[in-house]
Amino acid sequence: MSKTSRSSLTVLDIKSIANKKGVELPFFTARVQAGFPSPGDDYVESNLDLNQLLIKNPSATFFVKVEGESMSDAGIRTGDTLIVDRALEAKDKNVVIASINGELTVKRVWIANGKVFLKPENNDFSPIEITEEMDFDIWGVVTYVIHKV
Amino acid sequence: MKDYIALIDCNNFYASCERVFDPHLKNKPIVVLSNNDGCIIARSNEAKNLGIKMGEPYFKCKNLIKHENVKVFSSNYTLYADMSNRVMNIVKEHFMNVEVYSIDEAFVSFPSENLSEIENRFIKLRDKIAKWTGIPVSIGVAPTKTLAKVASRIAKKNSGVFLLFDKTTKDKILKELPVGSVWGIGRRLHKRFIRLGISNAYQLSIMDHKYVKDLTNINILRTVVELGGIKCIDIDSQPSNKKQITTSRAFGKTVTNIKFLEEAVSVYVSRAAEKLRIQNSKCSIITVALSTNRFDEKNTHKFLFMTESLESSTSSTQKLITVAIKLLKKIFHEGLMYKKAHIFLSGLEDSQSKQYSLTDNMKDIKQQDKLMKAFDKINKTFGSDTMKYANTGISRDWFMKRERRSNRYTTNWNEILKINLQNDQ
Repeated sequence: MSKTSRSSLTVLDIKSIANKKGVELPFFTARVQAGFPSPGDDYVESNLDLNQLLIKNPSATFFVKVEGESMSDAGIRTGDTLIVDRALEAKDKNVVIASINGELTVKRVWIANGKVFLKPENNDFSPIEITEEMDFDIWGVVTYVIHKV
Repeated sequence: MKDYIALIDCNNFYASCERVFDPHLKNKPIVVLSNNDGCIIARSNEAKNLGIKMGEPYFKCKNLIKHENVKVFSSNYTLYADMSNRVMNIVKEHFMNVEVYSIDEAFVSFPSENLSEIENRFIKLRDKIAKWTGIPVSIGVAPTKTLAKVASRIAKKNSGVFLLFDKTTKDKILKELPVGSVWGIGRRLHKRFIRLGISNAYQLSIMDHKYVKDLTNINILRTVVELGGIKCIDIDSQPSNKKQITTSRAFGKTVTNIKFLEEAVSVYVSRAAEKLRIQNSKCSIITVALSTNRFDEKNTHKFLFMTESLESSTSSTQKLITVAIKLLKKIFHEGLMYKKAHIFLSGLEDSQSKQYSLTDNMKDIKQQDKLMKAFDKINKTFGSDTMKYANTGISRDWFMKRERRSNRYTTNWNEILKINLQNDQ
């Protein structure tokens, strides 16, 4: 108690009271604003979250950046970012990240006449047939492309 | 109904993380170096087979590494921590009782059931983790934690899932397991047991309980009982907050100048204070320590330290830096070659339940808390070190060597995996 009363006599304390007043001002404005509640308030849920829309399995989802045009007809262009879900089973016609002899690439899976091909989406490039001798792995399935317009 | 225990253990975890993002590394020898590229802290199986030892200084095996074309990585803890979280989250989706025991191991407990069903269940889990994350795991299942640890060693050898329940099998495996490899038996105890003629885990498991307790302590008795198949170490699924926070790292080069040390100490305090705030604690004791090079043969190794109790506990980076610098100036000796700085924060208490004393300046405390909240939020949103205290230095040229760090593929937009389609035919 004595400490407070002694210190309240110093100039410093007057300053701090002045400060306090300054802080309180916006508080009053806020109260005025609260007098006119927005009719939309009751309908606010939460912000839209892109993760919720684009990512089903967070533990299995990775992002990959692409350079080059061999998938341009599938809408995948240089500089685009791909969302890749490793949890999905790759099926015919899926766009996948695959590793062939240690090299990662993006291609469409194409199954025809009992053979598996990795097909580029650009006529300047040719499909690759997957054979027994290749060290071949599906790394993940591409689910979305993030492309700057 | 009894509960069983499984240990899910990632195989050569750091090396496996590096492999996920570069398939060229498949079947190739890999080593990962400690902070500062000093020692070998992780090896792929191929590197183990070359005879590269755990903890070996990098410079000692440089020739072998070059000759055998071993891939060398600086440690990339950001990547390892994120990959670990992914693995652990998958485990947590399947089990209620999970204890994340380390960055690459988790214990789970589950109600006992038919053994072949258990085996199927864990084979499925192993395959799922491998597919989703690219990380191979081994799983040991047994009646106790200590035995699950033994089972996971066996699982690792035949890269899969191993159930350790059959008594004959168990005794045979324990007889082949050196006593020093049992979970909880440290180096010193190991020597003591050897002197007593106890050299394998089986001998340990049949020791007289009272004798063990008299000889050692209750924790070792628990280990012995667990080897016998009776559970006495529980799954700790809600690990309590840390009781002490340490940041201790070696510098990229030896440092003699107090200005550099001030920068380094400020950075380490910032990190430690961040850790403190993440677990919602405040500390009341801070210790600053400096050490010289342990491997320097000309000069004796020196360890200087000083501790101060704070009047009021805090988690404010600014307050802690002020005290730390004061302590640093007291312990600093001109002319020594410093290699490492350490910060220990102790006397931790929960921020919410903390009782303030009458003399505490509540206005100041609240302001500091608010400031730190804003500080952490900015660094979380825009990347660590976006905002930092000026004492932590702008150049940081004493900072750790990490010459061979791979990209932080999963946490930094500028470093995500890049695939080049230019070379396609």
